[in-house]
Amino acid sequence: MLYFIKKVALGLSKDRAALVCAIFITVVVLAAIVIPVVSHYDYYSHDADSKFLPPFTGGHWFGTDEFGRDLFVRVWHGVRISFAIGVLVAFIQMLIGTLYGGVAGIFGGLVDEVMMRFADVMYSVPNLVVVVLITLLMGNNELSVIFALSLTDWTTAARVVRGQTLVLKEMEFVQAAKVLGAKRPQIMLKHILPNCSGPILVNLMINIPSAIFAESTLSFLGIGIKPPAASLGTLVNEGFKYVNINYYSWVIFIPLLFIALIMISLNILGDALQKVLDSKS
Amino acid sequence: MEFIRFIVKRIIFFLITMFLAATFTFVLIKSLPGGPFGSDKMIHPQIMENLNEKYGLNEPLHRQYIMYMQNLLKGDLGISMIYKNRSVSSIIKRAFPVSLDLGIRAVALAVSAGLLMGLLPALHNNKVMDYLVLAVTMLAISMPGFVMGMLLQYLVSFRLSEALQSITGIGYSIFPITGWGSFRYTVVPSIALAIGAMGMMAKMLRAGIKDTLNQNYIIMSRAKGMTHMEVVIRHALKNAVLPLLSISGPLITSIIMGSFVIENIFSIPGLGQYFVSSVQDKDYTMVVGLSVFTVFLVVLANTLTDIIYAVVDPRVRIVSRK
Repeated sequence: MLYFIKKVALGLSKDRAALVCAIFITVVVLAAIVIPVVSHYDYYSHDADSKFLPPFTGGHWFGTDEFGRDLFVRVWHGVRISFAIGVLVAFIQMLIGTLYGGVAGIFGGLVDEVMMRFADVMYSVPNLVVVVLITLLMGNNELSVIFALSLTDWTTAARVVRGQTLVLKEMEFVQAAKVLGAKRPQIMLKHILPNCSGPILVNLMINIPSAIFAESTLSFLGIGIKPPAASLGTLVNEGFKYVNINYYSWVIFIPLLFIALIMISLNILGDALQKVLDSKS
Repeated sequence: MEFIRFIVKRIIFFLITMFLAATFTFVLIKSLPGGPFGSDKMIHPQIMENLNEKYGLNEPLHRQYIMYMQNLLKGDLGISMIYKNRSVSSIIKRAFPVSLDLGIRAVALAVSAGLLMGLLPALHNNKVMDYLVLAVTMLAISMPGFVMGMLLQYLVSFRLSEALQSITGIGYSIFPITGWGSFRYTVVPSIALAIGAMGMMAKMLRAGIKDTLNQNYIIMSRAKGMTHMEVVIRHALKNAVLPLLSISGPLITSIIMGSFVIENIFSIPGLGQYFVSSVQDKDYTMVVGLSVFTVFLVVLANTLTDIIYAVVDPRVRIVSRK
């Protein structure tokens, strides 16, 4: 693990764009954790006297929305929810994918064939449809959205791990472990997984922005997280539905700007990580 | 022989996927709370029973399942629970042509712009242009569809139209903000929808051309005296376009899913508009019917592009036989 951190840090320090993005993301995450706690506004209280205040008036840095809610806190709260969902979903996808691919790879044969064909089916079905159908069943809250998103997009990780497992399990050191009496789970955990941690990490890093992407799209369509809870997508959706863009453009454009910057940074970071960790093989 | 085996395999996979999707939706609709007639209004139990009998809802589950599958095969996706006497297939018949129109425009735009953007830096061998293309593709890939859609709607449909109106003195807006009709209506939504796919294509093409230009045979053909232009067009482009087919499946999926968002932003009466509104209205039969149809579309498109890929590139058939 230490080796990885060193390698990644070294690789990033050479890539100026990626470095800037890493710093930006760190700052944004820290701010999203701290600001909603310390601010004396909160993200849900209405204030009928101060509707649609433009930015930097009345102590509201980003202005207020159609209910007089402070946008500064709402946006940071949205960043917090979007990030929490993105990271959590990507982690669960990684766990599912690793377990699934590992089992398929280590058993091989018919089990592998059936499992991978099912993964192909999951891959070919559009995510949005799967997520909508699951949230229809479970309701629109954070948990159901996380659950539904986690059940999609794990197939890439599964494929990577399965491919690596198939190669690695024929290698001499794994054969030796087998002869010495190691059981399958032990071989998987001790010998095979550490050897595919690079691609798994890259996949995790790529899945975070795509989970944020999926969640914000869902929320933007009004079928993800429901107000007053707010992810960035919900904020844009509310602005789009209730606000005249000609007069109160900031209500829409501030959350849009945040989504755009976060997505770009995460994507550049993912690309850079891929370059760094792929150069090993 | 290999080729036929490949096609048969793909078709079987297509059928299995559709079967699983249909089964899943059946299970889903049976486990949702409330039946199709369980509205807020009080209905006499006798009437309820008659209704259930009419639609076969009192049959055992496996019989219902068989009926559901038979109906699907006949193209009957059920009746909307909210709009009276409206079947899902009638709505698809009305909305799908609109979505298809938008999708085709977007694909055409994405392919032409993507090819151009991937080629330009290699043709001119220009560092600044290369960075510019890199930045634009990065932007195009990472921006979610709704960000692009809303930005374009604001900048082009509001601001540019307004400016053009005051300059030219035309009484109507050149690019209408919402709606669907003549060519004027289609321009901005098609661009908004095409951008993501264009970015993916340009990125892959750029990398492919860069790769090929480092090959030995390129040096050889330069030594023969071919101009840079000829080398790029005749060798590099040819080799770099082929792999594009391998991402055409995800590309088409992203266009279909992206159209859901774009249709909502620009109020285009396509499938996506109906899909989202039926989810919001909790019109279960409609959601399920439209989902089955969308899955059908996506998987069909993937299967077709896979087969085309196999026709063009024989290596695909051989690898997939393993």
